[in-house]
Amino acid sequence: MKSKIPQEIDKLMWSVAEEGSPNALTEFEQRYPEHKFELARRLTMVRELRGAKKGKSEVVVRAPRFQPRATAQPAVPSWLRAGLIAMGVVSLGAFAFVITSMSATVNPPAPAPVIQTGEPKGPEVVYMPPKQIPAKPVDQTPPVQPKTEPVEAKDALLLPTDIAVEIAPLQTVLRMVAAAGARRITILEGLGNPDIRVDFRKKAPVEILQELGKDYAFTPYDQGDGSIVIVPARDEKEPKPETASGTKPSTKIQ
Amino acid sequence: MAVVVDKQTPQGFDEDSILIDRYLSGDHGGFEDLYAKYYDKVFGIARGILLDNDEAADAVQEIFTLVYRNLVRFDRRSRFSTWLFRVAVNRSIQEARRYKYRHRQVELTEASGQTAPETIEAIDPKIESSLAKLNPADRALIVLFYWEELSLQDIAASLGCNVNAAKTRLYRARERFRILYEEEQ
Repeated sequence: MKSKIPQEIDKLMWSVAEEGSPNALTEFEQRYPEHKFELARRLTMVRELRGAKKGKSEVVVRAPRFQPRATAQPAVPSWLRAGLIAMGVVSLGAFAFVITSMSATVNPPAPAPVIQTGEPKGPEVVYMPPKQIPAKPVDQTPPVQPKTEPVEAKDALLLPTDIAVEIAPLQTVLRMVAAAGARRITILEGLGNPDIRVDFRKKAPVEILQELGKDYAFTPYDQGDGSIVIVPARDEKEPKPETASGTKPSTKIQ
Repeated sequence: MAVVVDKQTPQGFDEDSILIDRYLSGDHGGFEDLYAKYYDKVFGIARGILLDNDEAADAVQEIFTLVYRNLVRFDRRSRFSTWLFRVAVNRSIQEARRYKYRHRQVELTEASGQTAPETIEAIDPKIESSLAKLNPADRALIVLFYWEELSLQDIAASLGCNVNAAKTRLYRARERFRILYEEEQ
């Protein structure tokens, strides 16, 4: 019914009904006779609504003596109650997180032991083909299968390895051995570079270097900083080379 | 909102301010006079929103206790009555929502034709039933406008909104009431 009444007329009808003026009622009915019945209904509703107040007021008792209530507190709105609950949950979570973090800090998990398998983990490429004369590996050594029993972490220079080259320059082989021992290598002037053939099985890089040193007249020195210096054999009276860093004494590999 | 409140700032003699000053200076009688003066109005608002005499009487005590405790914070930018009615409306709406379940029980009782509670008999059943189906906020608007006969400015101040918003809300509340009322016929 309401949808058929234009909004302006609807508002005017409410005003007339609430005002209740006979003149206004007459004017409205003359101007909008089609809404006469609707106006009468609204007039009745407004009168009954206001009359309900009058009837109700008769049952209102006298004001009792005012006594401030000790427990009177403003009712907590639902949104505030929900907010407080949410804050509580978040606080509990944060507390649990802090406790967990503190316990983790106090008792850090034991570090996982570093397990070194049979094949040493060189930092860089181990097998580099020689630049001058291509070397042909005699056999394609498959990767060493990890041992069933883990080996404790050791210096890669001391771990056995396989190095087999059909033919390659000496200095290239030395670099291969150094790489297998996880060392940088510096070869001083004076060392020859003949093509050689090597076939070392299950030998530590340090042993390989020693054997090669005996064969090709050089002495490997462990600098202690992750590098090896290859010093060609010289007269005993000549002074020994200085260390690469100059801070640590070099150690002859024995 | 602020403009509306400023327009309502009382000019000249204000009995309520004198009573408040008396109370704040330690004379408890000042508050008792305010209580006696506004009890009926506040009860009417609470009664219209809660639709139950006992609950309304209880709410009125809560309302005046709140006012009693917070009167020192009343900044007097509006009339005391406006501030009081605002507290009354908000508190009554909160209480009405809390007792919503009980109101539904009353409706069921009426619908089943059983004897209505004594407090309901004094009001036209159609009006009472229609009001009970409205939400408390709509009931508050109807009560303030038709029963307490507050102006739109006072209603706006009591609801914490501007006059236009109060007018719109009243229009919608009245439409909802009309639909419910006509369904009762």
